[in-house]
Amino acid sequence: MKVSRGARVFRRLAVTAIVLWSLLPILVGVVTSLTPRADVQTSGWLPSHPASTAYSTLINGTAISSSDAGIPSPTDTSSFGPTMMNSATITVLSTIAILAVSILAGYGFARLEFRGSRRLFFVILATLVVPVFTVVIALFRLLSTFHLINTYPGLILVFVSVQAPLGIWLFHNYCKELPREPEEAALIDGCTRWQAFRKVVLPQMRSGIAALGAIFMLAVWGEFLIPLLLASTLDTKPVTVLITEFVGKYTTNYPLVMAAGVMAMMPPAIVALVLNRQIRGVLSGSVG
Amino acid sequence: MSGIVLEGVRKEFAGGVVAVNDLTLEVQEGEFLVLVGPSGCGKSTTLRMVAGLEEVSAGKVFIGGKLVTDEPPRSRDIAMVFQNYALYAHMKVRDNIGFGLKMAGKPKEDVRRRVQEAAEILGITELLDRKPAQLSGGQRQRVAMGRAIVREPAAFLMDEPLSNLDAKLRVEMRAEITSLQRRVNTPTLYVTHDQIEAMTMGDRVAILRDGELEQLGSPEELYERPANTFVAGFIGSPAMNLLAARIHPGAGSDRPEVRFCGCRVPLPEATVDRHPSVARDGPRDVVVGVRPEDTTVATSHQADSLLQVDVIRTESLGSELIAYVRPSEGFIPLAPAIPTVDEASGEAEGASQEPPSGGSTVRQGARHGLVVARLNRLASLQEGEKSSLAVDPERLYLFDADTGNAL
Repeated sequence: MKVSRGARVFRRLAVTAIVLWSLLPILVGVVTSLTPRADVQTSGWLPSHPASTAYSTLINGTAISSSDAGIPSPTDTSSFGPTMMNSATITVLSTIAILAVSILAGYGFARLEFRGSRRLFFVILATLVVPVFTVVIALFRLLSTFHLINTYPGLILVFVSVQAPLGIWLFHNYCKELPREPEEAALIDGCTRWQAFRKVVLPQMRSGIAALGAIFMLAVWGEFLIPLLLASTLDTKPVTVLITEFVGKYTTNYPLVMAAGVMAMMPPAIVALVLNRQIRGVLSGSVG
Repeated sequence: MSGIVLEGVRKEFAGGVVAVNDLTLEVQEGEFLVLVGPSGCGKSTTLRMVAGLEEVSAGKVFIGGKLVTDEPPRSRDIAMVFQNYALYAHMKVRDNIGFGLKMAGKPKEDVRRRVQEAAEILGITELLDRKPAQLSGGQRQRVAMGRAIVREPAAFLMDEPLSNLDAKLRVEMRAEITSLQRRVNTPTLYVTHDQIEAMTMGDRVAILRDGELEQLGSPEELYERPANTFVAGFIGSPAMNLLAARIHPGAGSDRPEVRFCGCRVPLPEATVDRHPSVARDGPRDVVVGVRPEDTTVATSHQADSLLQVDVIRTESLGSELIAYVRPSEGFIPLAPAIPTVDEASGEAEGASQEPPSGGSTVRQGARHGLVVARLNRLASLQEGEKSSLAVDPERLYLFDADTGNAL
């Protein structure tokens, strides 16, 4: 199809605008993180004397001294490393748990007919429309009853209950699209249903698992409200919560906040890059 | 009792839909039995019940003499070839073929040797390290066959395994599958909607309609002695013309005759001997079956026994001429007892886009209220002109007008 010159120019302008709109905040963050704290208010687009102080402060875990007498200083950055580790642990374990629940339930609803299965499936889907903030207090009370506040299992349970309905729905649709015959061939070839699922169905779902795994990983890594309420101790607090603590009441160390933001962005960016190939595989598969 | 035995098997789906009703069938040791029928006749459901992929509502299934009605597929010692091959996309051809052996816990060396042997039989040794996505349709078909034969099962089940192949390859694979089956001598239940596949491959053919067995016999039996109008219309390509007719018992020494479309054909003695009632009883309505290949262009235009026709359309196939004609008088086309091309090909959805080869032209003919004649390629017929067709009285088929059963 021949595209007119005007349309081509318009398309390029539109793409450029979208890219700038998406990348500009990140660019501002990176630039600010490299600007000495004293120059933040005065420097232009680019710092005159770029400094990596904010990064070294975060990595070395240096305590920040109060710069203004009488004004409370932001949190000690020595927590940054542990909270990054917390984020990583929570994200990896939650993603595995969400995937496990979603894949098994999605496959079950797609393939196994049992009494009330359709009704149960719709009840689970209905929970998708419930915003987390409306149930977070109830969740807090529930977890507190079972002594799961400030614990990994507690956080993971909540992430699974929040994310799994979406996963079940998507994997249900994904499994519906998978041909039944290879699975049936495996049953005839000597597999039990579980073996057929593990040896034949699961490998067929590999690209879907990679794509949805990446989505869940990014969602859990970036989650703020749930850990803010349910993980307040250094043992469980993720980096998203810690970064907000760098914002002081009267003064804020912007380079530090931005550097923490940039560093917190790295793991999901790496995951997205690594899984990009698989995710593209899903999309190309979906159109034959 | 070995092979595959179905005893009064019934399948009723939720909602009361009966797919298979009281089906009793035996595939004998080493036999190649083809289940054929139009879309929705229950043939695939029957095969899936034998495989254990579908629960049996009533009746019994035996494989290799063992009752397996309630056994899971893995305990039935069967191998199945699916319409879309059902290969494991993430495994190499070698692993696809050897998967069943591996699951059975065979030693690695044994698996390797038997996979190699199966690959040699099927001529796919050079493909063993490829993935299914890198194979053509015919190669995938061979891999699926390899996966079946390598296990040396008690029975083979094949569910329209040739539907996804092009016409030329289908003919080749037809011969390959039958020769392979004869070589391994394993009882085989083969499902197809294509009557040509059924006739060319099966030692015996079972024709199903609406979940019930219409007739079971050798291809010759089905062709020569169809049990009813359904079988008569299903077997043969183009399919048999079924026409409303009336039998008149002969007066005195005259032989009884059958009258249809304005012509009067005396029934041969052999036919009268087989059905003495046609001479004994009074005139009665029947359905007369005329196979397209049993017609010829008559040289005389006067004889009462000739069918006077208007030639509507002719199709030259090179080796023969297919003529669509409309009898000049008394023509009452019967509603086809078999599905139209569209219905029949609907079963192979997503597979071959070609209509099934079984009598497609006659179905078109029946739809347009025409009689089909399969004639010598040099037959002098012109579209739009009148002509006379002679039908071979020895080759007429008579059916009861009410029940459709053969007289």
